[in-house]
Amino acid sequence: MALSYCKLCSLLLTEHFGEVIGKVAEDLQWGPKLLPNIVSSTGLSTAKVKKALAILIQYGFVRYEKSKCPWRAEYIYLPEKVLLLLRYQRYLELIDTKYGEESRLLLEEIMKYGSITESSAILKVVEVLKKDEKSTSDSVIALRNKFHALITGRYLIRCANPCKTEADEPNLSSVPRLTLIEAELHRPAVIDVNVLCKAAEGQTCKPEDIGDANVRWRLNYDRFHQDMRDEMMIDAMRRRFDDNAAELMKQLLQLMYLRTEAWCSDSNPVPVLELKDAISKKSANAYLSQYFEQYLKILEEDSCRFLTKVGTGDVSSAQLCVNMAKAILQLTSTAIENVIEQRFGMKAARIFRLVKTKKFVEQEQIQQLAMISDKEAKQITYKLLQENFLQMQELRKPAAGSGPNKSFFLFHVDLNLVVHTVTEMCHKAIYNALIRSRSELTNHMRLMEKHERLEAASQLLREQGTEQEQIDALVDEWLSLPERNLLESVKKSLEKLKTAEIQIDNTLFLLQLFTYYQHLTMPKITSKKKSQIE
Amino acid sequence: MDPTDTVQCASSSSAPANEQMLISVVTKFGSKGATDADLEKLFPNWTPDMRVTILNKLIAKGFIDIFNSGGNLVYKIKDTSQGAEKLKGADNEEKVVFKIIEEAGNKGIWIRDIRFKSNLMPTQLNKILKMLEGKKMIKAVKSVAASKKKVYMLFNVEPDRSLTGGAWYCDQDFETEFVDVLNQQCYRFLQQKKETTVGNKGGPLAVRNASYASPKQVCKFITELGISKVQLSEDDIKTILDTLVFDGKLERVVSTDGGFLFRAIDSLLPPPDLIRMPCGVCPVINNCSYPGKVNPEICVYLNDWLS
Repeated sequence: MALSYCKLCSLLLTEHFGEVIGKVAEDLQWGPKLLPNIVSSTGLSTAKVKKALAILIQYGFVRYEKSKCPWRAEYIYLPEKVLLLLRYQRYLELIDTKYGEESRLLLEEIMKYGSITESSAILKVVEVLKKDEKSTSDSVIALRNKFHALITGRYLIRCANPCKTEADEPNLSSVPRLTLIEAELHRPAVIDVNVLCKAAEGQTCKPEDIGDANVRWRLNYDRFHQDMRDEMMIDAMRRRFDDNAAELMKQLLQLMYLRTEAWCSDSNPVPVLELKDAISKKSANAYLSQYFEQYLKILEEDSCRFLTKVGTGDVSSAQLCVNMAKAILQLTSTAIENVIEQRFGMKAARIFRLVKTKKFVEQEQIQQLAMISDKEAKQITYKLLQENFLQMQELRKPAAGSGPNKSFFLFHVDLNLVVHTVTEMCHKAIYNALIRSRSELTNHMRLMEKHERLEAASQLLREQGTEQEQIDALVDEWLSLPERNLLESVKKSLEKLKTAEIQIDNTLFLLQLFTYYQHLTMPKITSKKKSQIE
Repeated sequence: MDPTDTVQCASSSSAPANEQMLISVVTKFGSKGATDADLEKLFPNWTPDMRVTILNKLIAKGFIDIFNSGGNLVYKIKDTSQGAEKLKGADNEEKVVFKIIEEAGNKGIWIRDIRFKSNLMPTQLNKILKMLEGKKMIKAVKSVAASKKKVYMLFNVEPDRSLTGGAWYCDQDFETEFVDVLNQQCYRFLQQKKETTVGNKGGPLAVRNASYASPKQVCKFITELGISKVQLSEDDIKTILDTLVFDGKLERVVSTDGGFLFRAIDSLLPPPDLIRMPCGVCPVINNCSYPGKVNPEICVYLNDWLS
């Protein structure tokens, strides 16, 4: 784990959950630890550490496992989950557009608690709706349906429960083992709706009566990422060709999921005929249906290579494959080239692409092919080398006989390393944005506090029935003009930094996808295995 | 090289260079000789006056003979053995050096290699070379690859492309601006070609095929534009188009006749979000750490961006 990555994760935790949890997580970043070890190295009280660990486990940032002595658990930090905190905004937007506002509220509750039972999520949303006076009598039922839609859409996943100790296993270990049957991953719990409705109306009832006390739900990140990935591919098609090509890609991806697991590097073949039917039925796009074959041809022949046609012949027998891994590779290269173009200029991007296409090239060839003057080409090449975007390989001839000993210096691109470099840049940039917003806040602490007090006071006045004009006049009196200007600019800066964080996370998402597909040759952790681990 | 090829370095203004080019062109016509019309075609940007002056000079120096064939004036190169004739009075060392240089052809030969081959003392060799140069039997050419390295070749030989660098060099300097302008214009041409296809309702395949252009078409456009003093060949334009492919602005496909076709394309992604924040383009990001001397709290780039 790189230093910038560790620092970013602990900072994120500190910002969202407070000092104690940040400290515990920081302590765990060096590897799995037992509770007493964490207590001694952090210097916090045992009770505090226990509470922090409980919270971290609830949000899925830490998991536990039997240690070498079977009656003690060791705690393992999962920083990649912490980084997803940045992406929560995107998830919410995604659900908002797909399922509507109520589903978004439900998701928000789940995010707030890390993992939560269905009934309590619904009750909490009902409360929110009541506050906004949007609640209706059947909102509980509606929310339950929305929740089930999220489950069947696989956006939510069941948390593992501790299993009962089996009889033949001696009860040596007091560390609970978490298990989950795969069939239950996306099966909604049975809920007594009547009790839930009563609870929503404000009557007190025991959680056991509702019936889902031990079925907790959390976000299924992979599903969100799948949607985000598809959206990226469809957008790329739109940019390269037009809306019709994007529509074609969308339909193709949907058909692909019927036959292929979402995270394979290559899809199983999809019959062209089926795609054609789907397009003529689902989308009322006459132009696309008319020129369906032509669109297929240009998509297939384009240099981005998102699709390949399997099997020759006419439409009836041909099949299509989606090259996910290649598509992501293309997108990542494009993104990195764009970064280089902005960072070092157009000509640096040209040299980078050139070296990438030609695999191994000498300095002199770079100059000739890129049509850049000798000195400038050298300068740019060495700059890229220095910043780790290019690699250099020396070929030395064995010093046989006399004569000058000549070595060749060949430049090449190792995309894995470049992605690593850019990822690190992203981590650092997000970290900087977080630090900067924190310092903006502390620098203007007094002003912010004053502003908050004023807000609270004006709220109070409004409730007491004071006229709005009167409140405004009072606020004007309390807050001088320069103070107000400063407040505005601080607010603007904070907002800008917040957007930057979310935007940079988009880049990070693409890079993570790339890394994932690169490692796909290694055994993949499926959702089934994952749940067993947890 | 076919004698009917257009000569590319015709813009070069220095008089001796022009003389040399004329000699090399007339040499290619051989015993048939070059007519005035041929020369006019090959050096389109020389005025008749200029041509006459250069020819007169060469005739006076005895490099070219003038003949009358059927009412037309024909220029022929004087027999190359005239070099040997001139050498008649010279000593053996001079003849050896001349022979070595003659063998090197249009690639030229470096003074150090002459020394190795001839086994002459540097001082003596320098003297001989100066003398031969004075007699206009050989010339020194600077290579673009290594500006300090002088190579020698016969006076009437046109230097190889690898030495002069072709159309992109002017006196050993790479013409960056010229290349950049050509680069932009080629892209503009293909971009416009693509934009004209937008309203096309003939199906996506027709739209795509209409946006392709061959180097020949681009070459024609550039010539008609008149931004280049130098006559550019299709190959030159292809080199420029290749740089645009490396810029990620064009796509290259192999056409049915074996050549290449080019098409303007858009990038698959919008500019990445990383660079919307100054950290993405920060020159000192490697030195940046918190706490540290370069840190985000006091960063000037962030200050500028936020205000």
